[in-house]
Parts: sequence; C-alpha cells; structure tokens
Amino acid sequence: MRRPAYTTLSCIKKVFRPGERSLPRTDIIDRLTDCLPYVSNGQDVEQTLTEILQMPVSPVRVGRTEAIIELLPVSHPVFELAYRYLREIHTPRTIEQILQKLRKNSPLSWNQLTRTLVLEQDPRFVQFEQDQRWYLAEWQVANDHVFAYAARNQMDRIALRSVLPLMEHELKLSSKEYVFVPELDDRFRMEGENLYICIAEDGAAQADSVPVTAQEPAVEQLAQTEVMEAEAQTAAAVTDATATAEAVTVTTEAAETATTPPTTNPAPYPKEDVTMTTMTATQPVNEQVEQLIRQAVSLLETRNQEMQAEVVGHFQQSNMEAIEILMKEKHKNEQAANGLLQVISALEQQ
Amino acid sequence: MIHTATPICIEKRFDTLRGIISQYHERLTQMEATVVELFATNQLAAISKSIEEKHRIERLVKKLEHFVEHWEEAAEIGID
Repeated sequence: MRRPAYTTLSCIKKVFRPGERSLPRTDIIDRLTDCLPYVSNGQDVEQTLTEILQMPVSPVRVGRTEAIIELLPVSHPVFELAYRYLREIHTPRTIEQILQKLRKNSPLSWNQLTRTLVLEQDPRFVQFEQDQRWYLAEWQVANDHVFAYAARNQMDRIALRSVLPLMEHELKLSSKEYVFVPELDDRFRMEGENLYICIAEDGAAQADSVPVTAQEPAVEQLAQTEVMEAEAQTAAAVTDATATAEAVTVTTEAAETATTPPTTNPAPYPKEDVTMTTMTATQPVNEQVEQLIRQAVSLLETRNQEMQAEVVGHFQQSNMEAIEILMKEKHKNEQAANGLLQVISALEQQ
Repeated sequence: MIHTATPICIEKRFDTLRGIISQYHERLTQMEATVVELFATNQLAAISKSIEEKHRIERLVKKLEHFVEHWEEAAEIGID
C-alpha cells in the first residue's frame, strides 16, 4: 500500500520546528525516529542523517561541534517569492512551474533563477517520494482524516470538488494548513470528476463481519424454513449488496488498470491536475481539447464497466426496471462516446 | 442431467437430489455471466427471459430443498 512518504531530505526539514535554527544531533535522531514510518527505506536513522549531511545540496550542515546540526541560512529573496507563491495558490507545484511563475515576477534571468532556486536547501519546501512537485513543510497531510471520515460514513466515492468543503466543514481542517494528496495514496483513486475510496481493503474486516453475523442465524434457522425465509432473504440481500459493492470497486479498479496504461501511462498526477496545470502551460488548445475528450471517453468506458457489475446485482434481485434504466444509460453513453470519437477523428484529420 | 449409468439407488436419493440442487445453483451463477453478456449486446428481452428462468429455478430449488429436508428426517424413522 502506497502512502504519501516524505523524501529523506524532506524528513530532515520536517524535524526542525518553526523558529528552530539548530538542534543537537540526539534530538534530531529522536525526532527522525518518530517520523520513521515516513522515511522511505527502513535503514538506520543515524546512517540516514550522515547521508543527508554528506549530500551536495542539503538543507543542514554540521554546526560548531559535531553534536550540533544547523539549518543553512537561506538568504536569497527568490526563495521568499517561491514560498509566497506556493502559499498563495496552496497547491503543490513542480520546480518548472515555480520557475515559470517567478520568471514573470522577477528581474532575474532564467539561468540565474535555476541556479539559485534550489528548493532542496530551503527548509520550508518538502517533497514526497515519487512526486516531482514541491509542497510547503507547514502543510499537513489530510489523507488519513479524509479516509477515516469516508470509512466512518461508508462513502466509496466523493466528487473531487466537494473534497475541500468536506475537509473544511466536516473535518474542521483549515484549508491553509492541510493538503489532500490522493494521488500518492493507494487508498484513493481519482477518476475524472470523482474520487474513489477503497474502503474495501482496509475495511474488509468490518465489512465482512457484518454479513457473516447476519448469515449465521440464517444458517441455523434453515431447519424451520417457512417462517424464517423472509429473514434469510434479507440477510442474503445484505450480502448481495456488499458483494456487488465490492465487485464494483474491484471491476473499476481492473478497468482502470486495463484502460489507463495505454492512454495516460506516465501520469502520477491526477487527471484534474493535468487539466488544471497544462491548461496554463503552453500546450496548444486543440491538443488540450483532444485530451479532455479522450478523458471523457475513458470516463464513459469505466462507467460501462461499472454498469456490468450493477447489472449482476439487479439480476440477483430480479430488478428488471433497474436493468432497463441501466440499459438506457448505457445506450446514451455509447452514443456520447461514439460522437466524441468522431470529434477526435475529425480533430486528427485537420 | 444425472449421468449415472446405474439405476438410481434408493439409499442415495437425497444425495442425488442435493447434487441436482447444487447444479441448479451453478446454473444460476452461469446465468449471471450470460446476463452481463446480454447487457453488453443490448438484449433486453433475453434478460427478462433469463430473469423468469431464474425465478423458475429458484422456486424449484426451494421446493427441492424443502422436500429433501422433510423426507430425509422421515427416512430416519424405520418400522422398527
């Protein structure tokens, strides 16, 4: 299971609390051990520390004695600009994106900027493993909170745009202090406008225990069928419902793994982020449009996969009307997908 | 459905019946797969037919189970 994990360099930055410029080596090791689950490789803390100190670009250095480790002073104003920029947009950015932004607002040349703005040196910026983007060290990760909330309320999907309001109003997490990083977390899956939460895996124990207890009495009472049949049926309905719910997540997962590799393979970022960030970049509009349409098509395809699982559920409950409704939806989706594909081919011909 | 070359043994009648029931259950799970296929090929009428078929099988299974339960208990009681 993948969780957002700070890079080792970022770990050492998180160890220094705001205002602290230097720390005894022992304190650092203590605190590093505390956040060890975030240290990616389970190697010795002491060794990690010496490695960090030996790195060519490191935010820390040995102080007056070996026992003191201090943060490097960061003096250049561009760091402050970068810090303010990230703080203002409250979104992680890659160094290229930050440089682009700063280039507009500062008189420095591109070369000067790239040489001076080494965010590795500044304790205010941190990175996660497998993510190029820079985050602010003051931001907290809200993933656990969001996941706990979803598990509590048995939510398996949230619209992406309602995550922020949820964090702010339901979980009382200040949007200035917390960031939500679903794309580095295997418990969350982004698909188009929706965020899927895989409660099935973590909550498997809970989810399973409910139908089991419901089933057991049903098994016992099998001897006296007539009276207890109704109960058994409801129990079966419960298991069916959970089974289909799980099946849905499983199939969508499968569908995702099946569909994403060919289309958007090297995209560790969420699709939404792609649209948001590349929009501002220099990509020509028609390419963006094509990309968006392709996203829409893949969205429709995954929905079709979901529907197959739903059909089985409705079939088990003999719900013909629901199947008819699904069929209509499928028809519509197919027409939409066809139309979109035509648009794409028209775009490609131009 | 029963591929027994030998004539039906009376002692094994309930086991045979249980075999039939489990075959029906298998059939039901197979039907789920066919329904998915039918759905993919937009055959609404066929789906509704298979739902009817499913109902029929479920009724049969219920009756058979009831039968086995009822008479298996009675079979234990001999003349002695």
